[in-house]
Amino acid sequence: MPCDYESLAKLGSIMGSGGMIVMDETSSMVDVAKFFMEFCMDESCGKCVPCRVGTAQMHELLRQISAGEATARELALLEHLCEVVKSTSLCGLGQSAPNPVASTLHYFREEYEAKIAAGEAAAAGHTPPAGGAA
Amino acid sequence: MSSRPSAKPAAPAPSSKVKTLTIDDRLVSAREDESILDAARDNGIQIPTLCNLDGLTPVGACRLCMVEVKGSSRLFASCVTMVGEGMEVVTDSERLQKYRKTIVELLFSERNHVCAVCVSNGHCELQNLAQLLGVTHLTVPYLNPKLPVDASHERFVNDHNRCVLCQRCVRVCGEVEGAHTWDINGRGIGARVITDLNQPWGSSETCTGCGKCVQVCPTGALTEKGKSVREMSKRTRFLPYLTMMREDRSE
Amino acid sequence: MGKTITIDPVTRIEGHSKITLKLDDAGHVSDARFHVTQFRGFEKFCEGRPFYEMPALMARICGICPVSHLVASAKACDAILAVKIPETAAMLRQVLNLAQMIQSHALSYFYLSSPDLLLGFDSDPAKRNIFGVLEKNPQDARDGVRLRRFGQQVIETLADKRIHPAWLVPGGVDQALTADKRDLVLSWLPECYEIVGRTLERTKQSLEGFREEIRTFANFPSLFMGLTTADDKLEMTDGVLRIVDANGKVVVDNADPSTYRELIGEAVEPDSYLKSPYFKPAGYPGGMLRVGPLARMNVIDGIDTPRANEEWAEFRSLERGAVLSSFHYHYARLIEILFGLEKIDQLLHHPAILSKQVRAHARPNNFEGIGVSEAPRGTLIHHYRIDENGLIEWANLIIATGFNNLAMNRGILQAARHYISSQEIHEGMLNRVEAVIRSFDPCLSCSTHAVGAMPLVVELRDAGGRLLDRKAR
Repeated sequence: MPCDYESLAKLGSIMGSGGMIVMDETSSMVDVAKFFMEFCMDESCGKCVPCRVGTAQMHELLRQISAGEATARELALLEHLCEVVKSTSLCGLGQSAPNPVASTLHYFREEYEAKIAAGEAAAAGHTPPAGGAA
Repeated sequence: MSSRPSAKPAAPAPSSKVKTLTIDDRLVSAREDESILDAARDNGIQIPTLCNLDGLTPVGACRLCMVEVKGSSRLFASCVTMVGEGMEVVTDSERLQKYRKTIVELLFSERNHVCAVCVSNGHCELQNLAQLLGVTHLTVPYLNPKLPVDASHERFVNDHNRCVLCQRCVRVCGEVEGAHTWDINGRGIGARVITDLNQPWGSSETCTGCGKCVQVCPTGALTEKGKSVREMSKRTRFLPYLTMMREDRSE
Repeated sequence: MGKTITIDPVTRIEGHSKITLKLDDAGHVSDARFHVTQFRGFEKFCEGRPFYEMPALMARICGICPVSHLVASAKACDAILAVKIPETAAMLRQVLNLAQMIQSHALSYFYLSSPDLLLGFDSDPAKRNIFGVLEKNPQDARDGVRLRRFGQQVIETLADKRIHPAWLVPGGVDQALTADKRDLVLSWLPECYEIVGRTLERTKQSLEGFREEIRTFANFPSLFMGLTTADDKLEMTDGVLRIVDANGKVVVDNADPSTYRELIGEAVEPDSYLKSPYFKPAGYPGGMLRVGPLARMNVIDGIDTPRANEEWAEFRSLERGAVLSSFHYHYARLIEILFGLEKIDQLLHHPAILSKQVRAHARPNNFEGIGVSEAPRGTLIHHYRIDENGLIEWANLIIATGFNNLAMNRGILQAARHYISSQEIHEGMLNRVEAVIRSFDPCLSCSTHAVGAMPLVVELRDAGGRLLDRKAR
């Protein structure tokens, strides 16, 4: 693969530090996405809402998915937040923060789905908490 | 943070050019130094905003006023995007509505906004936005941060639980009052408004006690002490007059 | 082998609770416990909030009696401000509190208890609800709706909102009353007088038929507590504390409510989220108190409105000392509704009721404030401590239902022993045990439940906890 701007962009990556990382097949791609999201959350300056809150929410959703606590609903929400944060953030940091999630979802969706399946099974095993007064 | 003394660009020079564009399929004209937001409002087209306030420098922080411009896949914050000749602007597409709704949800999830027991209930810009955009519940989880209330000031209270980080207090204090008591501390989800160098408001040496920050705060974050639930209503209309009168005198 | 019967949840009350009955080997009831299974935590999460937010925040404790919490909380805040609120504000708070008492009593009597009283404790449980009453005694059902509506409409007229109004504020109320609104409220009174008049007559005539229930529904000696006016008349909003014993003898008189800690101790039981307050000098659990309509009828020397006073005199002639049967809470509730109507009538005719002077402004002047009022269910205490910036450091609430906790527990034991004497369970027997709780009208939460929506589940377990039988309604 030629290492130039156009070729990397085609693959959904960018030229720059961390644009290309080599991993073996034992790495969990959900955890990889979570790692990058944590970086973006820490680096967010906090000025615009989608980046400030969106990265924190996406990080939490990735944590839940990774821990097998999430269902299909959380995955759909994560994908929705990817779109909103990418489209509405003020600067390049927020606009590109969802990229690792988007590209791992594109190439390794089955890893997310395996985690979701575990989460759904756990949720089905639990009875919902006793309903108190709202 | 900007410390420009004047909130608005200077009064229009007679020579300033006029641009023609369409907003929501309506042909409108606007001065070249006008933002899409102002041009839309001049023509009776309302775009939702939160951080923006007439009389303060726009910062494009809340991202609620994002609009579509034909020919670009990007969205633009209309408060900080100037009009252009032949622009075709869409302010209320389904996509924009969806994004705005999510942004308001993110704001509600970020801190502890409990309208029912808030002093600003019924007079809150965040609450109004939720009503306007149909946010009746959240799809994102509440983050429930533990946040302090600074009640050290004699007349005012700063409740971080209700702050949306719009920076209106920071701007009005720096740009209009000239005290620059307020600023932002920390970054990302940990950002907080602070007084002086993160000292209790009551011990601030720069605060003049003018209360402008309280009046421009869109939510119940900055309020007058002793106001009961639903009692705190804000006056923001003073601001354009104040800046206008100052500009007149400086000429 | 010993058995445990669990009634979970208890129906037609405000909130979530269950009852467990322990049966010994011979099938006799050996113990009965009333468990409040919900946890709220208001005292904890108000910490760190500005004190002037308390009335509206605390009102959220309850959707039935938010006004009661507003009143007690606003009074505690008045004490923190160290102000005497304007006379008109005090009268307006009284009107609001009475309206609240009327709607709550109407809810308890007509919606929750009239199915037992009119249709019978043993009637078909599927129809033993307000709709059953509507079918069989349409006039009574309609009366209940009208009376409750009156209370709610008065609250809405004065305070702009039926539930959780923000009209009561530290220092008074936030808006004066207008002549239009006053006249509107006055125009509703005649119908309400008629309703309560005919309901009282019917209730008095029906007492004969409930002799067994009167004898066994938490009918035992206890202390009674309530607020009174300075001249020992019925009082709901301000006043002083009085405690009488089972003989009607005054034990504590003219006590300043802010000294409640000298009078009241609070015990916590491991199986319930409801605390058990008791009369401190008598110890726990000997200092068992009852509060609420029955207690208020027992502590006073009279009522300063004429019709209610006549009814009160007749009520007290039921027994020589204090009236001891908790079944009579229902009867007492109706007398209080009559008092509420007459008192609202009086207050709204006061020459100063439309005064614009309705709020005292001050900064906090005390670090501590105690507010005590009579909620529909009895004495209600709010107690706050603030820091130097006016933020709540500590709060303690004693709710009327808590005061009745010990008596409710003993009451269900008494009724269970009387009605449940074999290992066979009849629905009607269990309904009577529940009805003991209902007569106290406990308000366990802010929640209101749709009629008939709550299932009643009775479980029969052996001493080892094994499920032997289960019946669901």
